[in-house]
Amino acid sequence: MAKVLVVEDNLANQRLVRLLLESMQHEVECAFTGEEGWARIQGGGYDLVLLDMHLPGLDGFQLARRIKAIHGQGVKVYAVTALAMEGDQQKVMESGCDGYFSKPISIRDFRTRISEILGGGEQLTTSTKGAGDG
Amino acid sequence: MIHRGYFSNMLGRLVLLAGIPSIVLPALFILDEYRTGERHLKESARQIQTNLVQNSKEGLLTGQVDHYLLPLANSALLNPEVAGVVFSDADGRPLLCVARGRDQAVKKAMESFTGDKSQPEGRASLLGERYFFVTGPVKAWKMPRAEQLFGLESKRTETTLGTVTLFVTPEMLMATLRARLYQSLFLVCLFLLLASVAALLIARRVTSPVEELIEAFRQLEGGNFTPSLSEPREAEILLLVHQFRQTAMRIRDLIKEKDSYSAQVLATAQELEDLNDNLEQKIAERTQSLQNANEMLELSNRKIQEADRLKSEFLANMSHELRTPLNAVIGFSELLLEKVPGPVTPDQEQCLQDILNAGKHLLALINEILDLSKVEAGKMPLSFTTLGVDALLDDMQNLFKPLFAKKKQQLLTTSQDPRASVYTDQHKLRQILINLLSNANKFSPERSRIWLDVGDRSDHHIFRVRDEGIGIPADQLGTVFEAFRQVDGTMSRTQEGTGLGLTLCKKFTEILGGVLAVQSALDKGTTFTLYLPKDPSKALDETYIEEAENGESACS
Repeated sequence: MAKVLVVEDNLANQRLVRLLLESMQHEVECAFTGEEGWARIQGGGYDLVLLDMHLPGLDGFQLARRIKAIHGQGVKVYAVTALAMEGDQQKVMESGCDGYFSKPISIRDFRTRISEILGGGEQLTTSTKGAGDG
Repeated sequence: MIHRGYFSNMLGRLVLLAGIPSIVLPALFILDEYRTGERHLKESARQIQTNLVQNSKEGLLTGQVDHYLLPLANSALLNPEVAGVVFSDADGRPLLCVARGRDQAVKKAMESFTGDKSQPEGRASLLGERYFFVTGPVKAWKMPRAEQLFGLESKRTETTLGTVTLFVTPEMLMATLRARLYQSLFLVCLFLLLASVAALLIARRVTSPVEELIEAFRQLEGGNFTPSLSEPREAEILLLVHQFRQTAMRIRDLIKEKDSYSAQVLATAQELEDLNDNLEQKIAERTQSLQNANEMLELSNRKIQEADRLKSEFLANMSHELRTPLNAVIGFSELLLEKVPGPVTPDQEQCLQDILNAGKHLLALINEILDLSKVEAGKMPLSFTTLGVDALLDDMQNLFKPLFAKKKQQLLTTSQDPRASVYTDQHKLRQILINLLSNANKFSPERSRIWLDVGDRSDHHIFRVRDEGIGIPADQLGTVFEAFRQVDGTMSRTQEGTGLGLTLCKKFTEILGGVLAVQSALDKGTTFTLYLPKDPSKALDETYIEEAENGESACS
C-alpha cells in the first residue's frame, strides 16, 4: 500500500487513474492544477506522483522539476501524458520524471508497471537514480 | 642652307670640269699654231734670205751699197716679219744694216751680231728682243772674163762675196697668238660665266622647288595639307610636287579616316561607358529587385515555416487533445470489461467491447495520421539496421498466430534464402508487413491460406503477401493506396480499418526506397508485393521492377 498523488486536470482521467490505483489497494489523492499538486506535495508522504504534463498554470514539467529539486529520489514522479510527438518523451525525462505512461493507457500495462514501481521500491529507486539526477 | 650649298658645290665642280678643257684645249691649239707660225716664219725667212743672197751679188761685187743693196733690203723689209737685214763683206765687216724702226741700238746690235757661223739659222736675243736669224754667204765664181766668155769652167774658183744675215721677228706671230690667246681666254671666261649662270639658273629651278617642297613638308608636319607650291618647270620636280600633293592628300585622308575612326572609337567607348553605367544601374535595379524578391522569399519562407510550425503544433495539439478523452474511453471500457467496479451483463460486455474497439480504432487513426504527416513533411526518422529474414518471419508467425487462429486461417511463410538478411528500418518494414497481413486476415474468409514469401534478387528483396480473399475489383486497384479508400462502401462497415493503412504502407515503402505493388482477382485473392532495395540509398522505381518481374516470368 502506497500513497499516490494524481495531478490531472481532466476529471474523467483523474477518476480512471484513481479507480485503477484504488483497485490495487493504493491510497490516492488528486489535484487538478500544478499549484494544488505542489501544495499537497509540501504536505509530504507521497510514494509516487503521477503527473499530467499539460496543466493550467504550473505545468507538469515545472512541477516535476520542483519536486525533484526539493525531494530528490524521495518521491517517484511519473508522467501520464497524451504527448506523443517526436521529442516529447525526451522532454519529459529531462524535466526529472522517473518514467512515463502514454495516454491512452492500457490498464493491463498500467497495473503491471505500477506494481513494479511501487512493489519493488528498493530496486526501482536505484534503477531510476540516473534519470532522477538528469 | 645645306641644300643650296650642296647644289652650288655640285655646280662649281661641274663648271670646273667644263672649264679645264675649255682652257686646256685653246692652249693646245695656240701652242700648235705657234709652232706652225714659227715654221712658216723660218721658211719665209729662209726664202727671203735666199732671194737676198741671189740678188745681192751685184751689190756686193760692185760695192754699190745704196744702189743695189739698200733697195734690196727695203724690199725685204716690206715683209712685216723682217726686222732687219745685214749685208757684210767677205771679211765680215758690215756693209749695210737696215732695221725696222729707228732704233740705232737695234741696228748696232744686228751689225755686231756675228752668231755662230756653223749655224746658218737660229735664235738671237738682241737687247732683250727675240729674233730669228738666217745667215748665209753670198758666193760667186771668180775667173777672168775671157774664161768666162769662153766657158772654161774648169778654171773658175768660187769666192765668198759676203754674207747676208736676215733677222725676222716673231713679234707679229706672237701678237697674233697673243690676240688669239686673249680671245680664247675671253671666250673661255665668257663660257664659264654663262655656264655658271646657266647652272645657277638651272640649280635654282631645281633647288627652289625642292626648298619649297621642304617647306611644304614642314607645313605638312604642322598640319597644313595644301601648302602653296608653284608649278615647277622640271618634269621630275613637277612629278615630285604632284606626288607630294597626292601623298599629302592621302595623308590628310588617312588622318581624316583615323580621326573618324578615333571618333567612332570614342563614340563606341562612350556608348560602352553609357551601357556600362546603364548595366550597373540595371544590375543595381536587378539586385534591388532580387533583394526584394529574396526578402519576399524569406518572408514567404518564414510564413511557410510558420505555417509548418503551426501545422505541427496543430497536429501535436490534436493528438494530445484526442488522446486525453480516448484515455478515459479506452481506460474505462477496459476497466468495466475487467469488472473492476462490478459485474456487467453479457450485453453490456458487448457494448463495452464495441466502445473499446472504437476507441482503439480512433487511436490507430490518430497514430496513422501523425505518421502520415511526418512522412509527408519528410520528418519521419529512419533507423537502418540489419534484420535476419528468418527472425522476421518467426516474429510475424508469433504475432499473427492468435489473430489467424480466430478465423482458422493458415499463415504460410517461405524464404528463398533462410540466411538472408535485410538492411532497412525494421520498424517500418514490420509495420508494412503487419498492415498487409492484417488486411489479408481481414479480407480473407475463414480457413483460407495466407502466404508470406520472401525472395532474393540481385539488388532487391521481395516480400509477397498473398491471400485467397475477396480480392479488389480491377477498376479500384489504382486507388487502393489512396487515403480513406476502402473497396466497396458497404465493406467498410463490416471490415475494420482506418482507411490509412495501405496509404501509410505505400509511404513507408517509398521512404525505404522500395516499390509496393498490388495484383488482385475478384473473389480469388490479392497479392501485395513489396520490393526493397538492398542498398537503401539506391531507390527502386516501378518501371525497373516491372521489367525485372517480366524478365523473371519470362525466364521461369
